[in-house]
Amino acid sequence: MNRGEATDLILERLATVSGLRPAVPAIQRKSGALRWDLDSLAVDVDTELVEIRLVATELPLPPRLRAAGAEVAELLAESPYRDARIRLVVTDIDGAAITDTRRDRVL
Amino acid sequence: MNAARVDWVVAEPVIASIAADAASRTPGVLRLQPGLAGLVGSVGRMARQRVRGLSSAPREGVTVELTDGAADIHLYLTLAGFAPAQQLAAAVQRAVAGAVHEDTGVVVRSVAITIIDIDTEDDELDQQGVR
Repeated sequence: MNRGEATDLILERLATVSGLRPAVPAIQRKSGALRWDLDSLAVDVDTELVEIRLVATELPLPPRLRAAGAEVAELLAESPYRDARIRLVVTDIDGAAITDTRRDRVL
Repeated sequence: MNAARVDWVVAEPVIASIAADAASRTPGVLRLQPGLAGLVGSVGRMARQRVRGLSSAPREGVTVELTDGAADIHLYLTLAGFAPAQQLAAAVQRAVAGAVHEDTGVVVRSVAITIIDIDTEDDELDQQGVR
């Protein structure tokens, strides 16, 4: 499994965890010979550290982050990245994540 | 799975948005608004790279500093009229600390409040149920 394959597989696994999605920069994708998946910009893979930058679309975060971490760790268990630390960084939160959660919360 | 391999970081803007929401929903709080530092910061925020497809939750009027995994939060509030400021501030602190910890797992070390303004418009007070 090379870095590109690991990245693709990580993104696939993360798609199964609700409430988190890759934090992809808002840049314009150019068509042409060098097409590349912008989602991969949210993932950095090496043998010491796998870092995934995420946006929250649902709350609360802790169970979702635990689930995402477990998915990625399981995926990498038989790969060259099995010993890497896995770091999930929640960089931003969608407005809907808060309004949807707060509907029934009493302060 | 070795749980020690996995860690996570919740960035300050996320904490700020959750804190802003909790504070704004506290009865007696009319709105949050940035202090002078916040106005300067908002320019940088607009210039920073946006995330594709994201409509960021509002966070103006809140500053967050994360140190050693704990958050120090500062809110700048406009209050509704004649609500007792000390009790209101305590309610905001409880609401913010609770919401941030519940929604992010981040420990809140402090919640500081600066009251920017007190609005005494009659209709707003009635809507808040303060009078």
